Amino acid sequence: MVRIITMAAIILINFALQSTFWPQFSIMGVMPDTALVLIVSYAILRGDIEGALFGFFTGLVHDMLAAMFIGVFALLGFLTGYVCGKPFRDFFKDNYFMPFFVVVAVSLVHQFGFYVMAIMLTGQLDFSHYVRSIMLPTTVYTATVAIPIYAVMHFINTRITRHEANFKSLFGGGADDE
Amino acid sequence: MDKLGKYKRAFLLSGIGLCLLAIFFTLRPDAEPLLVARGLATAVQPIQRGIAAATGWVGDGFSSIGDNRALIDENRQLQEEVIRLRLDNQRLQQADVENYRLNSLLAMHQQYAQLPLMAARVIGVNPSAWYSRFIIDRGSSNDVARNMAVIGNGGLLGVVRQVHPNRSQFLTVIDSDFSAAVMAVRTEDIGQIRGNIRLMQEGLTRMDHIAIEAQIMPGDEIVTSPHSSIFPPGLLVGTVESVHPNPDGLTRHAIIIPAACLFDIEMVLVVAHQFAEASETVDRHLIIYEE
Repeated sequence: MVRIITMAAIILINFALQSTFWPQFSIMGVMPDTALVLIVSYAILRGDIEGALFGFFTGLVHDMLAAMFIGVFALLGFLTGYVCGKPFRDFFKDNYFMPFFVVVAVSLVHQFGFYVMAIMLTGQLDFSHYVRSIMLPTTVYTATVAIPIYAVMHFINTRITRHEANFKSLFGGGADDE
Repeated sequence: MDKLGKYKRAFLLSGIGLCLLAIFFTLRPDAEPLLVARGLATAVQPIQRGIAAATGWVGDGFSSIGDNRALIDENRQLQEEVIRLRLDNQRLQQADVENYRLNSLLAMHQQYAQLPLMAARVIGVNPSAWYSRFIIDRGSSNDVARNMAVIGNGGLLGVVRQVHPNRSQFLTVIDSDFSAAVMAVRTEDIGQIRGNIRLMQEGLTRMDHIAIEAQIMPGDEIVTSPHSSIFPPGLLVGTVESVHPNPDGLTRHAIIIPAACLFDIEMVLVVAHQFAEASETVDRHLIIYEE
């Protein structure tokens, strides 16, 4: 329960920051995709199923508050969380460089997926220009914030896990509620 | 969670299916925001407002330390007045230049003067480098509706595209989904504003479908057409930077510098009158051309 409330708060605060705080620090017209870093971090820390759910809800919030129709970001987030959580389930969580490289790779795929689903279909086929002016700068900027955000998520996750363990030892092995 | 793990394939497929269904059902241009989305918007609104206020405060270079509330309010009112006065000034200048022109154009400017305007604060930006869209703090409870024009400092700024009860999102004139039926003031040549992302990155947009014999040239002022299906007539959109022939040899296009300031937008005016149905997505000329 604590986990669900904390994650919901993180998702909402992240969206609010992305629409107000980060635009003040945009470089070359791009800002870091912090939602993507959160999804990747959470998926690496908690595995594919929870990663996919976290990605789904992060995308859903973006869809509902900023997009014109619902589903595209939810789908991208869902798949991102699932794919990133899959091979990293038993990965050593204190290594901060792995998330960095995963974020770089996922960000490129993410941008490309969004371009194909939402921009290319409107007839704007100038792909190489968009790679240079939007996709690469966004990826670089996103990668620079990846490690700090992963560190914060790792810290929060450790605290919640400890809390859950205490809760369980106090009240016996009840139903797993997350 | 472990129980779910056994049905991974079903989980994956149902997630994807759910998203695709959502896309399918919300793809209509006049789709109302869902109840959940409205609740979510209400939850995020205070956070956004708070951060917008705080970052604005930091952005002012810490100079507002010690300033009282009244000063900030006064500043806000003054900003709103500046936009209104510039709008009036522009209208007067245009009327002066065109005084000798057709009566219909004069009638159009009288209409422009009587537009019902509502001030709104910008509280957020669409967090995507592919778009130029802003979120304002007025929504359907303040009678904002889809396809209402948004006026900024200097001229037409954009059009409202998505409305929640207490917030709405507008596209600016340089967004690639924005369209407007427009006319050159001097020559009355008509065309359509339709930008793309590449021009958006340079803060420009494009006027298309200009007849090959049109006398339009750099420096000409572009206003919304009297026959526009969405916008009130005569709003200043921008000035022509350059004119280029299209490959088809029958039409030309012009690169337009928007008149409204697109950076550091804080206050905007919404034209509180809906000229078109909410389902319209592309602005067009109601009467294509009359000799």
